[in-house]
Amino acid sequence: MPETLDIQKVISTSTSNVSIDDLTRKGFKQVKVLNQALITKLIGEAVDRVLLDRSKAITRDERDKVIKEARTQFEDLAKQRLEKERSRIDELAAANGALKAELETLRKRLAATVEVQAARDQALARTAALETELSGRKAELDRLAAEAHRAREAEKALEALRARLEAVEAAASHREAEASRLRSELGESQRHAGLLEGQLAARTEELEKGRAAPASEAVMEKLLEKIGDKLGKAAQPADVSKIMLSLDGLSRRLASLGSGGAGGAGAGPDGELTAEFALGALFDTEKVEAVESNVSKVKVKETQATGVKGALARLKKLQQGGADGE
Amino acid sequence: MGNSTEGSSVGMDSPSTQGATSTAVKYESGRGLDVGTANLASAIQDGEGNVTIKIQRNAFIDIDGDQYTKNMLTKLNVQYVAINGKMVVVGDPAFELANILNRETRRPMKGGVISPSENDAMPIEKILLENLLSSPHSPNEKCYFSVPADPIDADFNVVYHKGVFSGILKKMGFEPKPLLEGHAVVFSELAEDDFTGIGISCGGGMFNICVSYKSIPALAFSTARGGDWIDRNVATVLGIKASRATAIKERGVNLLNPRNREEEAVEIYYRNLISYTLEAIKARFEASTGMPHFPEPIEIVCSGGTSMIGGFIEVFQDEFQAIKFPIPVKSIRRAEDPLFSVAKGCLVAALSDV
Ligand SMILES: Nc1ncnc2c1ncn2[C@@H]1O[C@H](COP(=O)(O)OP(=O)(O)O)[C@@H](O)[C@H]1O
Repeated sequence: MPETLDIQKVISTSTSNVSIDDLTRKGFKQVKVLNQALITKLIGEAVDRVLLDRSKAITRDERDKVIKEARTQFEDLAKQRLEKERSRIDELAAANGALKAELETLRKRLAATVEVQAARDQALARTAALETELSGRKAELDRLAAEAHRAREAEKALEALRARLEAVEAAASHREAEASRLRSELGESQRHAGLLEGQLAARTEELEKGRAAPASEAVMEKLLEKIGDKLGKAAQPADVSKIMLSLDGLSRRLASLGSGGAGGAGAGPDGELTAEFALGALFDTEKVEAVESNVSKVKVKETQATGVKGALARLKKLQQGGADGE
Repeated sequence: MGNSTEGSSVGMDSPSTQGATSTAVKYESGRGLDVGTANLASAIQDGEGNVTIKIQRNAFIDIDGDQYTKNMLTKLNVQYVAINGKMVVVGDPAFELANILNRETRRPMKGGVISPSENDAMPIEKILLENLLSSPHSPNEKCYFSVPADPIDADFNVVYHKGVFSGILKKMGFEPKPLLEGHAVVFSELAEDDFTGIGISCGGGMFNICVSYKSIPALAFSTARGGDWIDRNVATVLGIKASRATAIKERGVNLLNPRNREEEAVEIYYRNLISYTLEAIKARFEASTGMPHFPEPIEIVCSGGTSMIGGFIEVFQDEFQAIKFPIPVKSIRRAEDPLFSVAKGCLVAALSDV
């Protein structure tokens, strides 16, 4: 509190005493007179009021200040809080992203595993199939080796037979006589095969001396045509399969001989004659056996195909030498 | 060769045994005959240019039978042949019977050519051919029949086989003319290229290959692997009968998309078979002297039942890419009528030979 104000002293020091004469000289006719006590009272009131006002003013200021401070503090807090929330959201988003990425990797890894498994299964199946094929091949190889062995044996036997027949042939001067001797020498069914063997062996020898392959094949074909012809008539002679087997072997040998040879003379009429003779002997004595069938009574599958006129026209044109027309 | 434009027409009744065609059909003179290991097929052309194919399975099976059985079989449209008292059922029904009885059919030409050890084969083949061709429409009508080329991987000779079928046809009144099976494919499929290219007949017992230049065969050979080889191997791998393997193979497999283990086995052996064939062509071509020089890339045509499986051409192209082929090739395709291609090629040869 400031020191107490002595109003009376203030008045007395700040006022001056003026005489009434002076006042009159100066023109003042009337003056107002103030009671000193009143003045003191008024001043006290005024001061009080000012003090009151001032106290009021201070309070509002302070209040405002406080409010302002409070608001700032609040905003700070709110901001802090907001900051915190925001960083937490970011954190969560980041975590979420990481999880998603991990999920994706896992998914890819799963797919890859499935693929690898499938590829492995396939490879295993293939391996199994190939292994079986391999063992099948091995078995086939064994079988072929055995067959080759058997074929060699048969070949040897045939060679022996041929040598014997050649010896017989050399000794005899006449072909007819030779044949009848052979016929009597061999058994009923073997006789035919043997005779044919002899004739063909002679042809083989000729070939070996450098005669033509194509010609021999022609003879062979003629011969076989005749066989077919005879077979048509004779249905199924008892020994025909044996003879056919022997024929097949001979034709094979003949062909392999022929493929090495160069051009030369054709088959003489003599060769054909003997072949005919041998075939006659083969089939004439066989009895015809019965074949019965309903094949001609049953309808066979019949279809239309696209035509061949275009191809035929082009082929004829080519045969006439006008191929590159267009 | 003669230069008359068309074969002489002869008025005859239809060779069909159905008797359905009451009007007389005129047929051109000349027949085509496919003597295959699995099927026998004949081709004939009428005056209008329509080509009719008749087809028979080249297989049979033995059965026990009496007069009653014979009558029943005829009623059921099943073909039989009785030789010396023994009975066999022939054609497609033989397959059905084999499946029912769990036996294999007998195939007279299983290995590629008629076998001298198959006793009953010849009379049966004769009867089947008579039914396919009936009698000639003119004396000595030409009948071109397919024969396999010499095999590179088997030991048999075609001369005997050729002789037997020539004999049968001659006996029937035809003038028989053998034609290489691969060459027949060239005749029916490669006209557009002046009969230049490679014809492959993919059959049951074998594959027949013919490299042709302007209708002349430059190289022809066969391999003893075909549809039957696939069946045999699939059967071994899966531990089943070959006839069952055939059924699996023919029921609509797509080689590009095998659906199970069995189909996968079929795919594996098909791939093997195709690459084996391509390697063989390559080796033979490179080993032979005097091969023609092809100025332009050529076409490869595949025919035969074995080429009918789904994805065959794609796999063929695939395997083709994998080897260095000695001849430039512009395309690889399947024949229009894969099962009739050889018969049609023989027909073309017969009709052009007048
Ligand atoms: N739809 C098919 N899919 C696969 N193979 C088939 C189909 N039809 C037939 N075959 C096979 O084709 C072969 C017979 O073909 P084919 O041309 O008649 O032979 P061939 O000329 O030897 O008589 C058999 O192995 C058979 O299983």
